[in-house]
Amino acid sequence: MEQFVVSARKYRPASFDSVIGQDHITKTLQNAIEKNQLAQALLFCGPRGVGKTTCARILAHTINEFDQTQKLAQSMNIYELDAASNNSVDDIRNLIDQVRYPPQYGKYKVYIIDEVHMLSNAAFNAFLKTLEEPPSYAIFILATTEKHKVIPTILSRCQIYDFNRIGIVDMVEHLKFVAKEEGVTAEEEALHLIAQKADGALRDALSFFDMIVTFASDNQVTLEATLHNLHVLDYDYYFKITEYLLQENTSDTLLTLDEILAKGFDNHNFINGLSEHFRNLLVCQDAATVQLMEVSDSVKQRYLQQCQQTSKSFLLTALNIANQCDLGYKSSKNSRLHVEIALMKIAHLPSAIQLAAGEPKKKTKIPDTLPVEPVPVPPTPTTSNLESDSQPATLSSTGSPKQDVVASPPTAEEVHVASAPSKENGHQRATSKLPDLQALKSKVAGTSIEAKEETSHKPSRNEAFTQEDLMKYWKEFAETRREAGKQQEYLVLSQKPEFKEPDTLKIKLNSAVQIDTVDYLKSDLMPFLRDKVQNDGIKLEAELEIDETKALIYTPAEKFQYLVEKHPPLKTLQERLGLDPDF
Amino acid sequence: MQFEDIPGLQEVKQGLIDAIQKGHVAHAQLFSGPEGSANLALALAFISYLNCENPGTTDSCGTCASCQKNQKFIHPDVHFVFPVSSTTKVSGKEVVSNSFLKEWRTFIEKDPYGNLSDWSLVFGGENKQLNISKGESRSIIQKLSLKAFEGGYKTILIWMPEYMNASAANGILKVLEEPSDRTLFLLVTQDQERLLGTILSRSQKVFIRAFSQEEITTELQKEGVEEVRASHSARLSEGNLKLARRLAGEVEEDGATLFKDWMRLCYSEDYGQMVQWADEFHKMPKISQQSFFRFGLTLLRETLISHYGDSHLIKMPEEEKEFVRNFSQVVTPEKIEPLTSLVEEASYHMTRNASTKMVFLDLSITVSRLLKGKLNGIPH
Repeated sequence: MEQFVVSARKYRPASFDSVIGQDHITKTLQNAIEKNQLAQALLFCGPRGVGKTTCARILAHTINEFDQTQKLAQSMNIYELDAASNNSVDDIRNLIDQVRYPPQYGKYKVYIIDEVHMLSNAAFNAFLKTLEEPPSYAIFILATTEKHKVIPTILSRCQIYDFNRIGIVDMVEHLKFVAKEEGVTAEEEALHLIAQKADGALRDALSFFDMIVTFASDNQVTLEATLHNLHVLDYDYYFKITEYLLQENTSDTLLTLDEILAKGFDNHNFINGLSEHFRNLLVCQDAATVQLMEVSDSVKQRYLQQCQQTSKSFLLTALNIANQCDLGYKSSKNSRLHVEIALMKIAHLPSAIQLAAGEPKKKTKIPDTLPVEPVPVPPTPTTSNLESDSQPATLSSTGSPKQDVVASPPTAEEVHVASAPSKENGHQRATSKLPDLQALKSKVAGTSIEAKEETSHKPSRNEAFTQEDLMKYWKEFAETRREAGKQQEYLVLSQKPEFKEPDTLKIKLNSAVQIDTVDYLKSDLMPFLRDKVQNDGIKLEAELEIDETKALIYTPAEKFQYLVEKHPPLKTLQERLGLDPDF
Repeated sequence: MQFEDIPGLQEVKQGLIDAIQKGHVAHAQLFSGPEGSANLALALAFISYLNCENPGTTDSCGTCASCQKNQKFIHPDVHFVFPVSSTTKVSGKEVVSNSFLKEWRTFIEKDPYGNLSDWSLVFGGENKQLNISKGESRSIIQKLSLKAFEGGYKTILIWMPEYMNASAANGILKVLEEPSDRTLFLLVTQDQERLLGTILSRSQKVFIRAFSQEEITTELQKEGVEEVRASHSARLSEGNLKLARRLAGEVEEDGATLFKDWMRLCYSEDYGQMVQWADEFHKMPKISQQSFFRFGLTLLRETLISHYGDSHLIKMPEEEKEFVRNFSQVVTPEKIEPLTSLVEEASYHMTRNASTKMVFLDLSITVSRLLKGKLNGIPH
C-alpha cells in the first residue's frame, strides 16, 4: 500500500514561482540573488502555514544552484535545525563550530533555524557574534511565528521578511490546483469555505481539504460534506434564526436550535457562529466596510439583503448578549439552557429597542415634571420640626431638671441645628435641578440659621463658682489624663492656668504643639469643667508664650563674644594679634 | 479496544474505516471531542484496526497477534504520551509517561471516557498540576528515530495535548510536520482551542460528537441499568458517558421528585421546613446534590420552553409535564433567568466545598422570595 502523504507536504512549492501569495518576498529574494546582494542573516516571520520554511528551503537550494534531486549535496550544505528541541547554548555552540568549515560542494552553507523563538536567551546571546559577522560562505535563515519572542539584538542583525496571510482568492486557486492534481472534483463554494475557515494559513486549508477528501465518499468535495466535516453550520441556519429573532418568534428559534443540535453541532459552536453572523451583518451596514467580509458573492448578496432589516442597535446588543453567553458558557451546568436564555433575550430585543426609541420623547417632557419633584422638600423641615418637639423632653431629662425655663432657648437652637442639614439637602437638590422659589426660600432661611448658630453657645447654666474650685477641677481632670497614661497631655495640663474675671481661663504655653494638644483636649475638658461648676460660660484661652530666656552659649565665637562683653580689652588683643576664635 | 466496544457513533467509525481502506491516513490526526465522548476510545480502536492483520469491513478481527497486543495496550509500536505529575514514588526527571505505563493501561482499559482528574486518581497524582513536559517531547523524537518493530505503522498517541507546556509543544512541531515514513500521530484532545495554532494547522481534524441521549440510554441499559433510570441519567449527562454512568450508579433518590418538592416548599415560604431541608440536603452524597441541581436546571429549561407553547421540544415523562404546566404559571420567563443563575451559582459553590447547609438554606430563601415576586434580580 502506497504511503499517503498529506497535501501540505506533497504540494510544498519547490521554486519561488510556485509560492503562493508572497510575491513581495519571493521577488525581493530573487532580485537579491540576481544582484548578488543577499544578506547573510535573514529572518522569516509570519503566521503559521504561509510558507516560511518553504521559502527558506527554496532559497537555500536556489543560491547553491541545486536541483531538488541532488540529495547528497543538499544534505551536506543545507542544515535544517529545529530550534525548539535544540534550544540550549550547547546546541548553538555546536552550530558555531560547524560554521567554521567551508562547504564541500557549492558556494554556500545554509543554516535554516526553524522555530527560532524557542531558543533560550543564553543561546540567542551566544549566537550574536556569529550572526553579525559570519564567514563569507555561511547564510543563516531564521524562521518563526513569534517575532516578538526574538531578542532585539538578533532582530537588528537580520534582514526581516514579514510573510502575509494568504488571501482567500489565492487560496481557492491553489486548492483548485491541488484538487485537479488529486483527481478530485470540488465545488467552488466548498473551496471558498475551506479557504475562509483556514484564516490565511494555506497549510490549514490543505489539512481541511485532506480531511474532507478522506471522509468524502467518492472523491468529491461538496459544500455539504465540507460543512459537515469542518463542523461549520450552514449560513442558511443563521439567516433563518436571525429572521425568527427579528420577528420575535421564540418558538421557531428554539425549534431551529433543536434541529441544529440534533445534527451533532454543539451549543458553543452555534453561539460563536451566531456572533460571527451578527458581525457580518454589522459590517454590511456600511458600504465602506462590506469588503471586510470574506464570503463568496452569492452569500454577500444575502447578507446585504438581511442587513436592511436589522438595525445597528439590535446587532450591537445581540452581539453583546451572545458574547456574554460565550463567556459564561464554560461555567454553566446546563449549556443548552444557557444558550436558549441568550436566544430568548435576543428575541425580545426588537420590542425593547422600540421602547427605547420611544423614550427620547419622554425625556423632552422631563423638564415639565421637574418642578413637581422638589415638592417633597418642604416636608423635610416639617419632620425636623416634629422631631424637635420630642427633643426638649429628652434634653430636659438629661440636663438639669431645675432649669426648665433656661432649657428652652437651647431647644430652639436644636431645632435649627437639626433642620440645617435638611436645608442643606434642599440646597443640593435645588442646584442639581432648577433653582425654584422653594430652594431660594430655604437658602435665605439657611443664612439666618447660620447667624443664629453663632449664638448657640449662650450660657444656659450660670452658677457662681470660685477660682479655687475651678483650679481643683482642673487638677482633677489632669489626674484623669495621667491615669489614662496620657503623659503628654498631663504635662500640658500640669501648667497652672491663670484665671481672668469673670469666666476665662488663660493658659500660657511655649510651643505650638502644646496649643494643638489643648485644642484637642478642649472637647473633653470644657464640658467636664462646665458640668462641675454648673456654668456654661467658662472659656479657655491658650496663648503662645515666646520663651525669652537667654540663648545658651555653644560655639567658640559666642563664647568669645561673651568674654569680650565682660572684658573689653580682649577685643583689642584679638585685633592686634589677628586671632581667630575658632580653633 | 475495538470499534464494536464503543456504543453508537456509527458514521464516525465508518468514516475512519473508510479512510484506512482508501489508504488516506494522514500522519497527524487530531481527535477532538468533548469531555466524556469517545475520542480516546475511537483513537484506540483506530490503532487496533490499522495494525490488524486481517481487518474486516467494519472492525478489526480481535484475534490476530497484533489485535491481542492492542487489546492489552502492549503493542511495541504504539506509544502513549499523556499528562503526568510527580507522585510520592516518582519525581524529578522520572516524571514522564513511560514511568506510568502500568497505571495508564489499567486506566484506559477500565475507563476510556474518563477525564484528567479520573486519571490523576488512578496514578495517585494528589491534585497536582498535570502536564506534558519538555522531556516528553524529547522522548517522542527519540522513539520516532527508531524503525517500527513489527513493520507496520509506528504510532504515538498523545492524550490531552492541550496540557503540553510551551516548550514541549514547540518541540514536536518539526517532527509533527514531517515525520519519517509510516509514522502516525494521534492527538486526542478535549479542548482544541487551547492547542497551539501551529499544532492545529499541522494536523488533520477528526471531530467526534458527544453521545446522543439514545446512545447513552441503550448503553446504560446494556449494562443492566433499568430503563427509567437510564434515560433519566442520559438526560442529565449532556452526552458525557462517564458522567451518565456515575449518575446511573450512584444516585439513589430521584432528583425529579426532590426538586419538585423543594420548589413547592420554597413557594409556600415555610422557613422552618427549609432549615430541615437544608440539613437533609447536607446529608446527601455530593453526587446526588449535583444531580439535584442538574435536574433542576433541566426542569427550568423545560418550563421556559413550555411558555412558548411547543410541546415538540419537551422530552419528558408525562407526570413531569403536569408539574411543568403548573410550575410555569408561577415561574414567568423573567424569573427563570435569575433562578438559573442562582442554582448554578449554588451548585458551583458546593463543588468548591462551601458549607452545604448555609448555601442551600440561602438558596431556598432567595428562591422563595423570587418566586413570590419580592425580589427583583439577583442580590449580590
